[in-house]
Amino acid sequence: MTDTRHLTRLYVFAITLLVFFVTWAVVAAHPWATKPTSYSQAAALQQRIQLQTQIVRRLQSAKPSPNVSAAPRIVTLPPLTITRTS
Amino acid sequence: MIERHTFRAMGTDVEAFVDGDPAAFSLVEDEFQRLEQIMSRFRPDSELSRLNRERTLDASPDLLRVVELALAARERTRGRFDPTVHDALVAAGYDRSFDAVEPNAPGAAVHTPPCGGGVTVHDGVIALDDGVNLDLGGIGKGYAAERAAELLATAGPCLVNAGGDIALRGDATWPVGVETADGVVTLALERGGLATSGRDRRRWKRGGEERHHLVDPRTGLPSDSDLLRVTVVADDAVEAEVLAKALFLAGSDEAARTDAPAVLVTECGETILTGALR
Repeated sequence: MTDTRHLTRLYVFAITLLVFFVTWAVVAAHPWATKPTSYSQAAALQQRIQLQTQIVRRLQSAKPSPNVSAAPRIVTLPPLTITRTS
Repeated sequence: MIERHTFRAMGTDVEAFVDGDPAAFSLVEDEFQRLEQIMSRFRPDSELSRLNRERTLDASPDLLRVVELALAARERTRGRFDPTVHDALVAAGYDRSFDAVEPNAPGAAVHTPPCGGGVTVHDGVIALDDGVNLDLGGIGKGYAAERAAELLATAGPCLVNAGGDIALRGDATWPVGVETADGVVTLALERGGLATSGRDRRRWKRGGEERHHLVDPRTGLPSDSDLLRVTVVADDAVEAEVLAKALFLAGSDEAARTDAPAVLVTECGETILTGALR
C-alpha cells in the first residue's frame, strides 16, 4: 500500500515537471508574435539607410566639387584688375 | 591688406595681388622667368626651341605637362586649339617677340603650312613628326599664371594676371574687369580662372593686309572670325585660355550657344553674354 502511494506521488511529480517545462517552452517561443517582428526590424533598417543616404546626398550637394568653378556674377564694384587681350 | 606687384614677362604685363606678405612676389617673378626659359619660342636656348630643333627631347616635367595639356586641348576642341601652329605664325610674320615685330611691312601672301601634325609623348620624351614645330603661346601664360598663383598662395589668397590670363587661389572674391564693346563690366570671381583672347591687340600688317596671332589651325591663316575678343571663365586659367581661343575661332553664332560663362565682343560692336552671365 505504501509502495503504491509512493509510486503515485512520483508519477504526479514527473507529470507536473513535464507540464511545467512544456508551458515554459511555449511561453518562451512567443508563438503569438513571430513574423511581424522580423518584418518591422527590416523596415526600420531600410528607413535608417534611406535617411543616411539623404544626409550624405545633402552634404555632397553642399560641398563644392573642386573641378567646378563657382559661377561668376556681374557686380557694380570697381574692378581690381582688368583682363585684356594679351 | 591687398598688396600689388607688376612686372614684365613672356612679352606681356604680369600683375599679381596677394592678401598677405608681399615678400612672396619674388616667387612669382622667379617662376615666370623659369617657365619663360622653358616655353619661349623666341629664345634659341629655351627648352622648346631645343625640341623644335632636335625633334626629340627628354623633356623637363613642366614642358611635358604643358605639351600634354596642349595635346589634350587639341583633341577636346577638335583641332580649334592646336600647339602645332608655330610655322603658320612665322609665315604670318609673327617670327620674333611681339615687341620686335614690324607693325607695317611689305610682304607677300601668307604661305599656309599645315597644322595638326603628329606629336608624341612617351616616357618623358617628346617627339615631333617631320615638319611639325610647337608654339606654346596659346597656353603658356595660363599655365604660368596657375603655377605662380600656387606659389603666391603660400602667403594668402591671391590673383595672378598674366596679360589677361587670370589664376585665383584662396578664399576671397575678386572683382575683375572685362572689356566689352562699350566699356568695362566687373565680374566677381571666387575661384577658377579667366582668360581673354582677341585680335584687337597683337596685330600687324604685311603688304597692307592686316594679320593677327590667332591662327585657325584648319586654314593655317589668321582667323577671319567675326569676333573681336572673347573672355571666358573656367575651372582654371589654362582651360579658360583654351576655351577662349576655341570660341573665338568658332565665331559669334556658335560661341553664343556655349554654356561656359563668357563675354563675347563682335567686330560690329555687340557684346554677348553666355552661360551664367546671361
